Amino acid sequence: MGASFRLSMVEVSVAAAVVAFSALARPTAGQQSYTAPRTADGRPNLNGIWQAVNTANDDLLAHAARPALAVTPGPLGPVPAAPVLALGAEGGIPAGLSVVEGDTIPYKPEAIATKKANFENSLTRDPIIRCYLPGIPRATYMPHPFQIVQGTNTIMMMYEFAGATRAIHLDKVPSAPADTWMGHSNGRWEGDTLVVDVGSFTDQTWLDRSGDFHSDALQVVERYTRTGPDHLRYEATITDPKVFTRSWKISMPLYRRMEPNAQLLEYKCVEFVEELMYGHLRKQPINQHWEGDLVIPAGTLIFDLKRRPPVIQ
Amino acid sequence: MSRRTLASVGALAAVAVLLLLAAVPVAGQSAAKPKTAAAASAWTLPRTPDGQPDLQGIWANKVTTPLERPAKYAGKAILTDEELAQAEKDAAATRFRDNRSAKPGAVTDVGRAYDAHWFDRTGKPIRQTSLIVDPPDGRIPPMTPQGKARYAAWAESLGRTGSPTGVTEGNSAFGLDAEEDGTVGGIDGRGTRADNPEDRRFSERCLLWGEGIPRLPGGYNNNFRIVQAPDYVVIELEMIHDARVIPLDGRPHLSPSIRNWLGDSRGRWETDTLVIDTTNFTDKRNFKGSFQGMHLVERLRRVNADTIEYRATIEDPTTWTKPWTMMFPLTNLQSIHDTEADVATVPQMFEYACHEGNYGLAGQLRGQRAVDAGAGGAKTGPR
Repeated sequence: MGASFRLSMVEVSVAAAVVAFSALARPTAGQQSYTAPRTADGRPNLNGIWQAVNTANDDLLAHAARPALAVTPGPLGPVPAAPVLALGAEGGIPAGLSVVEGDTIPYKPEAIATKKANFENSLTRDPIIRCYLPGIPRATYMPHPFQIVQGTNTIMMMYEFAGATRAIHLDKVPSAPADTWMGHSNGRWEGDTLVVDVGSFTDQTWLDRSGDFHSDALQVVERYTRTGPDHLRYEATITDPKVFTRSWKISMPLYRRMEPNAQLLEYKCVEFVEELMYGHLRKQPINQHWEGDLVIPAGTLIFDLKRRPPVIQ
Repeated sequence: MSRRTLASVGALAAVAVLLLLAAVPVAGQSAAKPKTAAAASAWTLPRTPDGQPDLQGIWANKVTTPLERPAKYAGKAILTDEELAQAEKDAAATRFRDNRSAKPGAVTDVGRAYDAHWFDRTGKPIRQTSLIVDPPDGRIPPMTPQGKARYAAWAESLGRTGSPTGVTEGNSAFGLDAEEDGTVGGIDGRGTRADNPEDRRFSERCLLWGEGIPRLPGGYNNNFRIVQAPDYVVIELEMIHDARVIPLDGRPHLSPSIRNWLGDSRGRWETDTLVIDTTNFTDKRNFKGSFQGMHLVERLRRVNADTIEYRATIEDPTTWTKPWTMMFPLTNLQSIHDTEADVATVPQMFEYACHEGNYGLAGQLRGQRAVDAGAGGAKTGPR
């Protein structure tokens, strides 16, 4: 894995010194030789239902497999914590390669503690858990498909997760007067690449469930390029001077959903988190006790659930 | 609807800011710029690069005309010029009146104070006396016994009282009194219990605005964005950021096992009219008492630069004795805006991050728990 990871770093590098070498490498050469099909008005055609196939939503950086989203110390390292214990192997987080150029997120020294606290508390703090809009770039690599519908002056991107949407304005619409979860997007074509400038963000979204975060100063520049009949290359350059010492970049392929009847389906998870978010406010609490027979050798798992209301100022 | 129940206070506060920003230039505009007869006759239907009628843009159905024909207009489908002028005055007066006076001190007093400050001030009645154009009496057809029983069971399960046509979420937001909505009782005076989050209305839960689709005119943000590609039309509703992605390639509907809050839509062009056929609705929602049996057929036809004629026919033989059809215009936001105004007022749709700022739902539940525990008393609103 280490060797292949180093190779991928070379491939994504834009340093002039490695351009000649990269041109010999297979993927880069393929990208340059492919010409995207055109829409009726002559633009590269990005229409389709696309999905990332990687673990960037778990962790943008290279990571070994972990036992669970919430862990507690064990004799030889962490073990799954109580709230996710019953999920067993399904609750584990698979290993993954880095999607970050250089495999480093350049946090300012004072931001590292926040990232660490976010990581340790991601089960309770990750906004995705509460079905909040995932933000950009995270919406792109959620483990759900998204769809591009390319209109004349507006390119719509609809994300299955939380039914998130964004409009990419090719006609330079001024930024929204309030901060947004999904950002305000203006797009332009640079050759065959759709370049999207995204800003006007809140500081509420995360970049992955490992607690990588940003402030309301976040600016994202995305690049979407067709690299084949069924592939897009996605790049996002992330700039946030309040949190990072410099701009940094992620990149990944996006794959076309090939089912002949592929369709973005409804995932209105707001409904699914009501018990989590408001269960303590029910007249008759629903979740108080749970028992599950895990059979031999595990025996019966019993949870007694208590909730403490938040302290409202 | 949430304007009376203070749902989603955080989201509404954001909306208020946006409304203020958006409303200033609009208020100075009396109406669309008058077009000369020559300009009107010179209009030709614009086409997308691949030749479809071009419906793209941001459109609004800010119409104050009620869904069903009021008794005072019985037998009269279309208003005269004088009657339309009077209806415009009445609509404005309703919207700007002091709504607190109906029951001073009652729980609804707080909800009713949700007044013109919140509303889209540019909504107007149209010449029709009801949005319903078929049946000819402008009223929803009678419910079948089965439909009545099904609705009654659903309402009872949520502790609501009233009739389905009285549940006018998204319909009467331009100024009916709570009493006229048909539902009574509950912490908000509108028949809605707060024992569970599921008791609350869809809009308060940030699941659907009003009853979902068809999206009836409401108090604010009656905006739609339409974007077209050769095989798809997207209709994005500003409220709850619901986007309907509608394939035009003739594929069949989803398996009946998949039931959606917004149904499953398939589109086709009948000459220059976009026809959208929607089925697969979930039983978790209902539109005026029609649950998963609802079949919605919408027709969108651009009739001039500023207007799409929108028709929706709703059919559900298990709920009503016959289908019914509503019709209203979708107006291009650009046409009711001063395009020479400050660039910051270029018409656009904003993000409606409802759930993310939904302090209202927790507040309603917490308030009712406090009342249950004897705190405050019934006069205390769920703040």
